[in-house]
Amino acid sequence: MKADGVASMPAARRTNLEPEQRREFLKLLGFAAAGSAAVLSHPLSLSASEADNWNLAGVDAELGLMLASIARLLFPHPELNDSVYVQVVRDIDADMGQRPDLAKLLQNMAATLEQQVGGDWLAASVPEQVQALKSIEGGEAFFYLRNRTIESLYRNPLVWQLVGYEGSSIEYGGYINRGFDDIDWLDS
Amino acid sequence: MSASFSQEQSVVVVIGSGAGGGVLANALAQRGIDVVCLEAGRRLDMSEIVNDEAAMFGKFTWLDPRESSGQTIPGFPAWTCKTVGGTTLHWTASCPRMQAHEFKARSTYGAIADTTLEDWPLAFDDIAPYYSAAEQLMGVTGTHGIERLPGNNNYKVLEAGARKVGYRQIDTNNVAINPTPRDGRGACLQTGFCTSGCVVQAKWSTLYTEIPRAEQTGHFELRPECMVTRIAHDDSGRANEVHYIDAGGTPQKQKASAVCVAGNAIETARLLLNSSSDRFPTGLANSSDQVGRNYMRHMIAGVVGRMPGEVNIHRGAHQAGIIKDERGYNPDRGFVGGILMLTVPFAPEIFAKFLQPNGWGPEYADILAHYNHLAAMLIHGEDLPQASNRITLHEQKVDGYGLPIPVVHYEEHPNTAKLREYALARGRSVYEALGAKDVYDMVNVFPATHNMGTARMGSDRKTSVCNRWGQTHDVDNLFVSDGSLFTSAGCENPTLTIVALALRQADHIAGRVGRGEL
Repeated sequence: MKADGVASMPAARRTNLEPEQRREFLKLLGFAAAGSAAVLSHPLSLSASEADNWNLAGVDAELGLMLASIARLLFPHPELNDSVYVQVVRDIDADMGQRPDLAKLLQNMAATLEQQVGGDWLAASVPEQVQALKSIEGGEAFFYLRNRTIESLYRNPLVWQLVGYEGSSIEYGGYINRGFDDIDWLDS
Repeated sequence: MSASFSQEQSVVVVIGSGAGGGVLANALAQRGIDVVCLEAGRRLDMSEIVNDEAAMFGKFTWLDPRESSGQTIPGFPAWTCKTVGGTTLHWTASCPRMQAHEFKARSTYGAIADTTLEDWPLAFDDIAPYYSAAEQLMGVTGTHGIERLPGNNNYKVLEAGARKVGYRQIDTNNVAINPTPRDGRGACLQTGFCTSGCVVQAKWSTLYTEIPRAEQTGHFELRPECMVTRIAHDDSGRANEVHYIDAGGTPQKQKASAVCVAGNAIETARLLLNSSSDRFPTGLANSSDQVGRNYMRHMIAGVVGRMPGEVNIHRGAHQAGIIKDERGYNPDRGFVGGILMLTVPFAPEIFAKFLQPNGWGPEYADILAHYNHLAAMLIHGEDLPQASNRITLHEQKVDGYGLPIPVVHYEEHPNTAKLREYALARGRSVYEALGAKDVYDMVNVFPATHNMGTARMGSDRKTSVCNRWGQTHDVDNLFVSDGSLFTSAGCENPTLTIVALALRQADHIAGRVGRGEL
């Protein structure tokens, strides 16, 4: 590996960080501290007043919070800040502009889920929420939400950093000198 | 420089600019034969090719509506390309030759119920010199003194696991990817974006090889964004005109001395079916009723290992890694047909969607959080031809050109199910041998990328569409020049064989032009 190539790489391109470096690095990128009790005990730490400021066209604050909470329940990464899941809601909001039927589909789904947990979705426990989501797994709304959440989350460079996907490589000369064959745990 | 032909001038019209059409068109133009190539897709500038899978998907994929039926992905039965260069933009450049016995599938495998298995009307020895020429043309590693690519991490895992379970035929594959600069193209930088178009052009694609070379002859004109709507014929039943809709949406006609169809197996069959006339009421060149039938794709499945250490699967050439031990004919396994196991990477989004098609929740997210620990292989198995697996025209729905959309019907043969179960078990064992924490299957989640058989070659005009040169039995100057020709599927990636057949067909057509027959 060329030393000068490594030195010129931006921090975000480095791999094999020490745990302490990695935590600092994630913090820089807007991740919550890994293992934060607030995040683990409840899927969402946002309030309705914050949601009021999202300025969405088709999703109101109540539905927005619910969708963000569902996104986190579907693909819960404790290290990820809520803002990453709020981006999923923004993408759903954009979809609504293209799909006239979507608002109704999600409103109906929200009503079903609220009924399942006995009213207030955000006040329900995580096991109650999970149980409710399982009851709608085969439906169109769930299929849409799972797919949309994946396309939003796992195309997000912040999530790539978390899982170790490095994205576009050509600007760094590919991996020919940057570890395409650096595996070190196989027996020779 | 590029030629510009009058629409009244009878030229050889090649439909499609990918592995079949692009190679054939250039081979003819190099011999001084005038060719117009009609390509439905846009000509991408190299600056538009970026390391972004989602963006490239939108730029080169064939997204016109198709209907799925049977065991196909709803609404997206096949991933083909609509761009200058066709699927050579998207392919992994994996270039194994088909094996000699695979050209004699019927004789080798015997009669198998509910198949239309036949021997090819040509033998391995007939195509061997063209395999050699194709490898030379594309710069295939491990042939003609071209060194093999170095193995990436995903390959090293595959190789180590394969050796532990007793496999011996393992290498970094024969790929049309330059290990060092060659033929005006750069060397592989292991960027990890083979299937999104190769920014450095290390991977062979007709977009930047055959097409510009054909243009330099002065005997070739590419017309991109021109969707062919029908092939017309004269009173004697010879193809004489190709109708298309140009980039501006205006209907046009080009006079033709010969027509070669290379639109990938679905579009090729669809065009022939859409070209019916009083003389050919069930579709052009379809007196056999075989156009669109015998549609084959390979059995394709993924095996993913969650390994004890980092793999970083996204780094490096995609299919530069192969296990060939299972490719032969071995009925003791309980099925016919061969199996290849090849390295393959996926981006996080693809694992998230397909690792478990309905997966969600903390355990699933934890697998994805360990993306950098995942190793993966793609298994290809031979698929047998069945008359009922076919491309038909939708009775009501039309696309943006006003053409009936294709309906792609595919049902798995019981032999394929047996082959898959065996292959998955063997694939799993490779990763388990290295202490994988878990191994996952990805089955029935991928749209078909290897599409074959819908205008197949054969000796009997009652059970095939084309003869051994790819000339249709029914129309003397109409040729098929893509994977539609395959009589059987083998287990290898089809592109090398498509290119070899195109080079062989070019010799045949040039000979006939020379004799004044075309």
